[in-house]
Amino acid sequence: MTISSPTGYDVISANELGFVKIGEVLPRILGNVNYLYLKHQPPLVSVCYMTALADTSDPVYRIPIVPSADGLDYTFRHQVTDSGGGSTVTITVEEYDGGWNTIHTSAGQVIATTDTLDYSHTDTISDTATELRITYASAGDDIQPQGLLVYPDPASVPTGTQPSGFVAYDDGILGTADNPVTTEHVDRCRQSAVAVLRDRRQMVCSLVQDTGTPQYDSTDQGGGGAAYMRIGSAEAWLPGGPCELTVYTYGDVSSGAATKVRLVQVAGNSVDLDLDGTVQSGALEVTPDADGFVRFDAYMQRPTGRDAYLYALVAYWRPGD
Amino acid sequence: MRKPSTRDWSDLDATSAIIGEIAAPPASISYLAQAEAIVHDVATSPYAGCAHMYDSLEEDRYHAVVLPLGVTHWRAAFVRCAEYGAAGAVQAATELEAGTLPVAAAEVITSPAQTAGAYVYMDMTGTANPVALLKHQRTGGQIDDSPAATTDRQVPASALLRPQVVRYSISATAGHSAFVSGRTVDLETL
Repeated sequence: MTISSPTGYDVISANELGFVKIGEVLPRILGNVNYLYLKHQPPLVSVCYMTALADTSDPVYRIPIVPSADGLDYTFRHQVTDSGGGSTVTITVEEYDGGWNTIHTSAGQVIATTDTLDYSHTDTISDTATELRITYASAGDDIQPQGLLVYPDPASVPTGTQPSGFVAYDDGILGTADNPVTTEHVDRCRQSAVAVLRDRRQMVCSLVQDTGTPQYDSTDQGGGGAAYMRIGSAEAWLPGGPCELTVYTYGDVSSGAATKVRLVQVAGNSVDLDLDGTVQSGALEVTPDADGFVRFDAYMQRPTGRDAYLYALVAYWRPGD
Repeated sequence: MRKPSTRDWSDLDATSAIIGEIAAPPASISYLAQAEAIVHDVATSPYAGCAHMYDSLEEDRYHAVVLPLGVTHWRAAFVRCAEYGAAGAVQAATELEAGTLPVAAAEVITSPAQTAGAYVYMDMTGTANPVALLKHQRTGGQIDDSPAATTDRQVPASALLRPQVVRYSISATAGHSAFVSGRTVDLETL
């Protein structure tokens, strides 16, 4: 019995479904199910850091995540710019899984003056991890961390039923002439495809700042007296129709009670979450416009007489929610 | 001919089966079609375009995007900031460079600025500065994959039967997302 996957999606012509034996087409469909496990790759993390143009402080970013239940390999792609004079950067990636565990440490990456480093690595994210912590250590060189993309990138299709609900196809029955086609094989196409689709959440909004010295905090704001001040605005493209997002935030206050961060769909719903030193989450129902766009505004409440710090605000979409 | 999916996932029933517990289901081509259709939908539907919020002012912002299979063109939705009520020259255009482009200076995608005056960032500039004027824009919808001069147009991509990761930079923005604007008409031609 062999588990295999086409290297590219196996396009099945619509007319092939009607004029061939089911036992000839079904293995191809199930092969595509295996392909989905390897190549359904929506980004788990897509962040452009809100950061200083020349940072010498070894910035540290924390990003709430909802990884696959299958404990998948993910490819990380970092962009880091030297702000002038050249830099050597060491990138450390940790996951929070009941405690901080290092999953990757790079060698020192040399960046020529004003160049941008494009650094990739593939590592496993635990299914129970709730945050990533990324450190860009430059030993005093001034840098600008630019962006981070993290997407599923499994190396192989596993045997057995996965925690996500995915079941791989092997050619043990269908691969032999005149063997029966079971209803389970037909159902498996849908169940595994939907399992992969819903298991791999897609980041649809992100605002992430250094946890040491955030680029902007409430002391940079005008207003005051618990006013909400806008701190970010951008459009997401959500081609999947109306949906409920799960929004996560991590931030803190200098003292006293929590303050709030608010994520708004312009002319739509909003969600308020506490900045209290822990990761908080809430639901936000959004309705894309006719072209699939959702315009988000992010606001932070300025507490009176105290400072507030937003380190991360991210939203995830799970198709079907 | 086989087109990529444009499925709306809001009606997805995540738990139902195609045949389920029917002991002796009648032979039906519809079962096979249902099995193939959902796999096709998942494989070919586009991914969400993440709304990135940041402060890059007039600088370049480097990032990468995962394009699903069959994509021929993509664009960026971006936001620029200027000081509200400020006089001054029109700001520098937003430039987008992607993948192996540009191989010539003319191939930089250039979206004219619709904002003028000093760059600022949102309201986070202190009481000494007025609030920011936001302008949401999108890179051009024109398709011209080999322009003779810099122009505002869609970003071309080599359509593949698997996803691809494309690195890009975008300048003079405080937020953006990348979105799919063109897909191959017939996947069987790839």
